Amino acid sequence: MLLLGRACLLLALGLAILGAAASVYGARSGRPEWQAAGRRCVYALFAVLTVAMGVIELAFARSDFSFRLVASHSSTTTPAFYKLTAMWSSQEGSLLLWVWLLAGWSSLAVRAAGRRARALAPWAGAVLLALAAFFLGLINVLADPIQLLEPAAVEGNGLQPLLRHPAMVIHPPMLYSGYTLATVPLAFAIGALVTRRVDGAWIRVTRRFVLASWLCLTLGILLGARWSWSELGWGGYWAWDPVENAALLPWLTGTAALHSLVVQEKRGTLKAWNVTLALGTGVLAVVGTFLVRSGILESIHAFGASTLGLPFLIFIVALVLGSTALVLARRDVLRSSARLESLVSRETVFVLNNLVLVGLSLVVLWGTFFPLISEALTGRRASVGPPWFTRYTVPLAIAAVLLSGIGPLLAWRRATPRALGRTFRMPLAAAVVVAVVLLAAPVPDAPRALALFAVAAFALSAVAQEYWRGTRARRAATGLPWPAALGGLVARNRRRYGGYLVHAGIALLLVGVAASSAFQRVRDARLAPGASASVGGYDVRYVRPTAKVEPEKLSLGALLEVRREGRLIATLRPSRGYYPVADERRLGTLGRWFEGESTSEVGLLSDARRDVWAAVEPDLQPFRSMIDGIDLRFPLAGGRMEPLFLRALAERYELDAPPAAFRLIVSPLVAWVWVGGLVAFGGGVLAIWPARRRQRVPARARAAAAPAAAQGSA
Amino acid sequence: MAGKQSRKLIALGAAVLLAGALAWSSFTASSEAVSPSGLLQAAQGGRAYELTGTVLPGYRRLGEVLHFRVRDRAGSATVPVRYRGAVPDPFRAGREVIVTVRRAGAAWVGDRDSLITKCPSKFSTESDRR
Amino acid sequence: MEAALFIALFTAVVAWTTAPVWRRRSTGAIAADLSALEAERDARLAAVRDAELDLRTGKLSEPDHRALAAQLRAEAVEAMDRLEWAREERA
Repeated sequence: MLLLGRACLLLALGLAILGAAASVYGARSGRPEWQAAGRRCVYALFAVLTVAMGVIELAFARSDFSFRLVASHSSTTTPAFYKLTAMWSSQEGSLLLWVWLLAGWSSLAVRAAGRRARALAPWAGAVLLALAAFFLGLINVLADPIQLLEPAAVEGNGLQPLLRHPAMVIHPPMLYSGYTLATVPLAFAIGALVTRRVDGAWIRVTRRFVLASWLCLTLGILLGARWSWSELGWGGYWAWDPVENAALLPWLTGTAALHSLVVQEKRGTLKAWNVTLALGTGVLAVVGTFLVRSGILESIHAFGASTLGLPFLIFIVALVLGSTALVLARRDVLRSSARLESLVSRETVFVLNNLVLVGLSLVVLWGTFFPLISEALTGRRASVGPPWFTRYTVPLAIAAVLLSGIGPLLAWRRATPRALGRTFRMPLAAAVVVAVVLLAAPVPDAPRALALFAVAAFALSAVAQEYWRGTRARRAATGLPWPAALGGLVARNRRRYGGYLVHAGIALLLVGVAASSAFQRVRDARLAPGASASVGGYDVRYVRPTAKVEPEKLSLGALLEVRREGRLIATLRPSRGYYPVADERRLGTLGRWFEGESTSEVGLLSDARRDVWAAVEPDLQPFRSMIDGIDLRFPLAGGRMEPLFLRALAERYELDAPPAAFRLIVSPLVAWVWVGGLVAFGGGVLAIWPARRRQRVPARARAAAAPAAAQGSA
Repeated sequence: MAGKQSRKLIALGAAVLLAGALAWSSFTASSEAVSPSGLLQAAQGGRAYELTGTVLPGYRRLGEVLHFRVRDRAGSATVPVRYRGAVPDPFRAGREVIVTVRRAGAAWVGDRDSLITKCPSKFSTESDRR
Repeated sequence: MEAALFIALFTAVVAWTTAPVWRRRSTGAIAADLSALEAERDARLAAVRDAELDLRTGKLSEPDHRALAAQLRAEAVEAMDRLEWAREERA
C-alpha cells in the first residue's frame, strides 16, 4: 500500500499543476471545455488525496510499522481513536491534512461558482490548484508522509502524551479547516480582480466560505485555549505565543471581512476594503501555517526548525507582491460610485469596526514578528511580552465591543435622529448601572476591566433589545405566540440575528477574559500532607498524597479539600503523570519512567462564578536513592518485575510523600470565556444556515409585497 | 467630498499615531533574545534578556527555586539560572527553553512565570525515541 | 496488486479529467454571466426588507421609512429590469 500512497501523492501534484494550467488557458481563451477540465482536476485532486489519506489511516489502524510515520507516532497500545488521528501530530501528516482539506473546500467552491460566478470560477480554480501544487511540492520533495522504514519496527513510539486529549485531536483539523477555507475568498478575490468583476458576484460565492473559515478558527482557538487551561500546568489559556497569534490574525481580518462584505452587498461600497481583506486573510492563513513549521520565531508550539521555512517564505512573498500589484492595477474598478449617506448609519459603524479590527491585526502582527523586525533594523533580535500586547489590544477590544452594540441599534443608510434616543436609552442605562455598581462595589482597582464590563453590558442589552423588538413586531404583524414569533423572526433573518448572537457571545467571552485576567489570584505554595494555604478567599488543604500505576503511566498527585468560610466546596485531585522512555537499557528500569514525558492533570472546580485550579509538582528527590538502587540491581527487569517496583514506589510515595510544590489559582468568571465562545459559534452557525427554498419567493412578488407589508405594519 | 477627505485624513492620522506608538513602545519594552554565549559576552545589569538554549542534565529544585543550566544550542557556553514560578510540563534535560532573565550579582534570575519549554520537536531524533 | 490498483486509478482520473477536451462538447461561447446582476437584484430586495425591519424595530420613523422605501423599491425594480433585459438578450 505504501507504493500506492506515494504514487497518489505524485499524481495529485500532477493534477494540481495541469489543472491550474488548463483553468488559466480556458479562462484566457474562453474555451469552456478547458475550463471544465480544470474543474474536474479539482474534484479528481480531492479523490486522489482521499486515497492517499486512506492508505495512511489504514496503516495506522493496522499498526503497520513499515510506515515510518506510523512507527514514530503510534504504537500497538495506542487507543484506536488516537491511532486514527495521530497522523496530524506530525509535520508531514499535518501538511497532507492541510492540502486534503484545501482540495475538499476547493471542490465545493468551484461547484458553487459554476452556478453563481461563472466568469470567475476558472481563475479561482487556478489559484486554488496553484496553492495545492505548492503544498504538494513540499510534501513530495521535503516532507513525505509515506516513507518506508526498513527494517520495519516491532513496536512504535506511541503518541506524545500531551496530545492524548480529544481537544488536541480536533484542534488541528479545525485550525487547518479555518486556514484552508480562508484561501477560497483569496482565490475568488484574485479572480475578481483579474476579470475586473469586483461587484457583488464574487461576494455571493465566497461569503459563506469566509464565515465557515471564521467558525472553524473560532472553534480551533477556543479548543486550544480550553485545553491549555484544563490540561497544562501553567494555569492560563492565552500567552500571546506566535503560533496562537498566527490563528488569531486571520480570525481578526476575517471578522472585518464578514462585516465589510455585508456593506458591499447592500450598498456597493468598500470594494477595495473587501478585496484587500480577502487577500489579507488568505495570506495570513498561509503565514500562520508557515510560522509553525519554519522555526523562525521562538514558540512553544513549533514543529521544530525544518527545511520548509525558505520555500514557504518565497511563496508568501510572491503572494503578497502579486496581490498588491493586482490591487494597484485595478484601482480604477475598485472605486465605488455610491457614498455613505449619513454618518449616523450602520454602514459607518461597520467602517469604524473595520478600522478597529485591522488595528488589532496590525498590533498582533507587529508584536508577533517584532523579533524579525528588530533584527532587521538593529541587528539584535528582541521580543515583546504579554504586557505589551494587552496595552494595545485591550482598548481596541473595548472599542470593538462598543461598536458591536452600536451597530445593531442603527438603521441602514440613515437613522432617524429622533429615534436614536429611544433605541439607545436601555443599553446606555444598562451600561451606566453596571458602571455605577462596580465603582461602588469593593472590587480591586482595574479600570480597563471595569470599562469592558460597562461596554459589554451596553452590547448585551442592545442585542437583547433587538431580539425583543423584532419578536414584538413580528407578533404584532402575524398574531403568533411569542416563541413562534421569535422562531419566525430568526428564521427569516438568520444572518442578522445570528450576527447579533455572535456579538453577544464575544461580549460574554471578553467579560470572562477581563475578569479572569484582572481579578485572578495565584498562590505558589510548598505543602506537606496536612498543611493548608489560602488563595483568593479559599482555604486549600493538602489531605493526602495519591499514586496510581497504569500500564503506560505512573501518576503521583494529591487529594485537596477546598473550603470557603469553613464550608467544604470541592475536592480536587491534581496529579503529575510520568510516561516511560522505551530504551530501558540506557535509563534503567525505574529511571526511564522519569526521563520521558510528563504531563499535569489539573484539579479543576469550574462554575459560573469562578474556577478553582490546582496543579502539583511532586518532589522526587527523596526517592532518587530508591530509583537508582533498583536501576543498579535490576537493570533489565521488565514484564512482571517492573510493575512490582512501580507499585513499591507508589506505595512509598503515598505513605511518606515529601512536601510538594502546588500552584493554586482562583479565577473569576473564566467559564464565561467558553460559554461566550460557544454562543458566538452558535450565532455563526445560525448565520451560515441556508434559507429554506420557500422563502425565495419570485422577485416581482416580493417587491410588490413590500409596499403592502409596510402599510400593514403602520 | 471635503467631508470624505477630512475623514480619510483623520483615519490616516490615527493610523500614523498608532503605528508610531507601536514602534516606539516595542523597542523600549522588548527583551533582547540571546543565547548563553551572547549573554556572557554582552549582558548589562538590570536589563531583561530572553535567554534561549538547551537545558543541561542535573537541574535541581530546592524549595520553590528551580536551579538549572542553559547551554547554547550549538556550542558549549552555559549559564546558570535561578527561577521561581510555573515550570512547564515538558521541561527536562535536553529540551529547548526560553526564559526571561536579569542579572542579580553573579547569578542570573529568571522572571516569575517566564519559563517556556518548547514542545518536543515532531522531528524527534532517533536517540530520543529508541 | 498495488500497481494494478494505481493503474486503474490513474487511467480513470486521466480519462475523466480530459474528457471535456476530447469530446469538445461545449455550449458554444460561454453564456453571458448574469451573476452580477442577480447579486444586485438580491441586494436591492434585501434592502427593502431591511428598511421594513428597521421601521418595525423603531430605528426609522414612518416618514423616513416611506421616503427610503420608495427609493429602495425603485432601485429594486431597476435592478430586476436590467436582469430581465440581459436574460432576453442572452436568449
